[in-house]
Amino acid sequence: MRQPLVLIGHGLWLQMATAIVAKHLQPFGFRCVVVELPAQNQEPAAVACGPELATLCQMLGLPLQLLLAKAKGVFSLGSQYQCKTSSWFVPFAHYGLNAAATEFEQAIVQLLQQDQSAKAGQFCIAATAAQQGKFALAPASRPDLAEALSFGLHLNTAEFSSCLKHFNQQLGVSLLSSQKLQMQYDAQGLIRSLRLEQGEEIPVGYCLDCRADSDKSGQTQHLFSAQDNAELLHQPFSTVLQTSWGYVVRLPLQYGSHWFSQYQGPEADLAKVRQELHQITGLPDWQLDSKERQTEALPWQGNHLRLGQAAASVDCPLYNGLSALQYLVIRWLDLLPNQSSCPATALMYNQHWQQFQSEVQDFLLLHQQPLATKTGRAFARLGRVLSTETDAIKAGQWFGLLQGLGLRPELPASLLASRTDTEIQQGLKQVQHQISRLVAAMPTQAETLNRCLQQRSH
Amino acid sequence: MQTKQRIVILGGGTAGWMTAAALSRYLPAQHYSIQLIESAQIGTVGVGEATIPHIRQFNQWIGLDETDFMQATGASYKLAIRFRGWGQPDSDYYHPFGLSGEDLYGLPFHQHWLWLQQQKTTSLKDYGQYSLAILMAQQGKFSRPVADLSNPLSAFNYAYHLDATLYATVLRQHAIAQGVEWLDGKVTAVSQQPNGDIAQLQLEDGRLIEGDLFIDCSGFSALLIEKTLRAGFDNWQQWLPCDKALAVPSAQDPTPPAYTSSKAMAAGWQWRIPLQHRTGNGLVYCSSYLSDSDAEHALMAGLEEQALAPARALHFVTGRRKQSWVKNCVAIGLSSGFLEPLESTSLYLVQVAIESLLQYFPSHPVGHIERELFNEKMQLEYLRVRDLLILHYKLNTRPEAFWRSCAQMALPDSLAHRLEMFKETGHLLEYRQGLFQQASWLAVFLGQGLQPTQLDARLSALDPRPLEAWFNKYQQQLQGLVQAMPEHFQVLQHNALAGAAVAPAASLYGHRG
Repeated sequence: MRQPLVLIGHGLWLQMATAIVAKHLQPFGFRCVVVELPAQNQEPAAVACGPELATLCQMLGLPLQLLLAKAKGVFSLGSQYQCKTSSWFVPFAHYGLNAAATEFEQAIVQLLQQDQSAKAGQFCIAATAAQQGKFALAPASRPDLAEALSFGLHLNTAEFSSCLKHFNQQLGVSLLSSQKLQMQYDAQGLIRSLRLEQGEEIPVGYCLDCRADSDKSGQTQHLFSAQDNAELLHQPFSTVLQTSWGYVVRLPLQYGSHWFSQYQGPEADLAKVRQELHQITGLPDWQLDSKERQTEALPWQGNHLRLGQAAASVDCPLYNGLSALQYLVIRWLDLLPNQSSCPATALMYNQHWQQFQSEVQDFLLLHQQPLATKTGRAFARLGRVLSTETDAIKAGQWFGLLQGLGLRPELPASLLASRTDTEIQQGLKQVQHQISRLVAAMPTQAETLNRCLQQRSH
Repeated sequence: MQTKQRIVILGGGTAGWMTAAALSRYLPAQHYSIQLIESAQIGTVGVGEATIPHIRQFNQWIGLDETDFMQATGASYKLAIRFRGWGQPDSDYYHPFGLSGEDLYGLPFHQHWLWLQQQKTTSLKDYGQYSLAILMAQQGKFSRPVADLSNPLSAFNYAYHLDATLYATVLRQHAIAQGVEWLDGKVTAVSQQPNGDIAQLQLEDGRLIEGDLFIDCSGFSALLIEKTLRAGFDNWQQWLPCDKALAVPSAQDPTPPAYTSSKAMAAGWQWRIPLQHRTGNGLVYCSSYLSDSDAEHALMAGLEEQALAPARALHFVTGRRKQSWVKNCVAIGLSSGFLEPLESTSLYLVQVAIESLLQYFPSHPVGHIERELFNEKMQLEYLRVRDLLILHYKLNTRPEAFWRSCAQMALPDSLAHRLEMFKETGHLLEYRQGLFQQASWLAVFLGQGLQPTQLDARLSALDPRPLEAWFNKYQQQLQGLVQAMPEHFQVLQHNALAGAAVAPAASLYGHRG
């Protein structure tokens, strides 16, 4: 591609896409131009990144310690859900000691049916560690532990974005800014160039568009946010509290935490929502932002990839659009075309994105109406998590949520039928015992975080 | 009072006995009764003499020791399928159970290979020469793979060539030992409940066999799933036009290769499957382009050893049941669908149906969720195998009328998009569910001469010289590993691997796959 790759948008999503693209492609002689545009909506103050961030940082050569230090970050092993009658943990990692162990989750489900007091989290290293405030970075020699302790980070959005911007500048990316932008198309409908507000024209080989907003109208979403000063280093996880309309999510940072809740309903009820949020969290001051959400099924068209709109279509407090954006960028790099128009590649890419999107939407719908989803119905009948085509939602998250929502299978697991209840319970007990021993030897999150920050300062 | 769930398997070929062996392994006799009805009057097709590596998992699943299995079924090891005459009359390539090369600079190996080919790099070898499995197959060597991912020996897998009739016998002994009741009888009538569920089967001698769940392994006759429950059939002959086969055993090959042979013929293809005690041969052909007598003549003329019996004829319609599970009846094997054995997938499709049945095992009465999930899973598996088979026919420049017609046929969208995408960029988009992954698609694309018009945009920034040096070193390393391995025939003769640890990988391509 002779013409440059042009990235447009603003804030964290633009900087993240730029970092990934520039780091991958600059060594191959690609020119990357970034045009920062004004934001239409304010970004949430904090961001919950999933386990893919650690891999990404390693690939970028961006030390986690730097992010933790600059963006006031903390570790997250998953989410602690609380509703009126129960609470449960949804980890990023798998249950049991071995991710590949077949039928382990069915054994847990069987136990949960027999023993009402049993908790699935007892059989998950991440959940057990999280509930004891423990967190450790697994040594390189223990990939099994690294998998069992898959973690994300909670970061201050503005600081994280600024960190990435600095990183991009160091990579030598040309950063421009403009208040307005106009796309110029050729006869085939491909973007030929971008015209900036002062008339400057940038030739385009390929445009990666990180803008979340679109001209199309969609469903109005109201996002409530608030902040507190409580120090929660003993909680290496986010908290998800059930409300009458959905959920409110709390993301702890090093100093204080941020709360978010999305409401989609009549504007007349916003005051009631605010009141309930106050009651649940004790926080009186809630900021309200509204945005339109569209579904973006065809992000790749011609030489234009609408990453931002696609990511925005799944972005909400329960699922961070940044994960979707990262996924879209990496998938695009996997298929990097050598020409501006490759319709079959775009079609396959878009189909793949639709699967990703549908898996996230399924996960989100599970929170509201578990049995309205095929995943929920399959679990309620068979106790099984359906196979997925993407890693949008990790296997542990599916299982954690489905069992936490109280779904219990109607049918026993036939693959365990040849084992007695005693054999299964003994097997589970052994796993639980090993998990307890492992977690007992782990440092607290505060200790691990301090060590990381000290490494950084040295 | 009836306390046990009653499972009735109709048909005792490989599919029937694999099902019986697996169900009896997992479903305890105190809660389930399993009966298998087989008629001595009805022969079996004996599909699946060539397998893919998943069969190893199945054997492990049901507790079948590899050494015992090899001896009992006259099996040999299999590392690849060799395709001769596919694509062009003189082409010769392998579809290996293994990977070729390694990713470099974050790009797939095949992109570098295609690029070096474009640069006219003189030392560049055929794509297959960077695959351990292919080098082993070509040089008649065999060794088991390892699980350590840092070891190059983790980048391949293996399967077997086996005698399907003997395999069914082993499975039968296994299943009966685990409590399966074997009934000799021919079904003459099927009764249904008012809701359409099958209630009982009447045998020729008057016995009535009642059941809660019926598994139709009756082969092409599809006695329960189609003749009784009218599941419907998706006919795929517009893409896979062969409709007949002839099979004939020939004498043993004293040095059997560790690969299945598939040779394209004027209106179909000929297989050769070397076992320890004999060689399986057959011709799959399209009756619109080749008469039965010409087919038999072509098959016999192509044998490398003396025939041991007359050729057996088989007529088939390629496609699958619209639903493999209807009411309380699950079709497994040929009753569920037929795909020609070009990629040795017959037993795999049986295996995946059994695994899915066990995962979604119903109670009585059967619920719609388990049926729906099973049917979706099987549809996906069949479609993905189907597409790779169609690709073999589509990508060709052979002159014969049959092949010209195949080259011009319209493709199903799923395959057309994949093909177009490869042409545009040389890239493939992976899927997780379904059998064949990138390595298989590449083997056929490249083996049958498909060249992308463009490659990954990053390649033009590379210097070919260090890349070429890496390729040479890598290939030499593989050659060194293969040379140190024992001969395949010696391994078989001396049962040299008896007792060695076996760790089947989940992937077709080994632990690294």
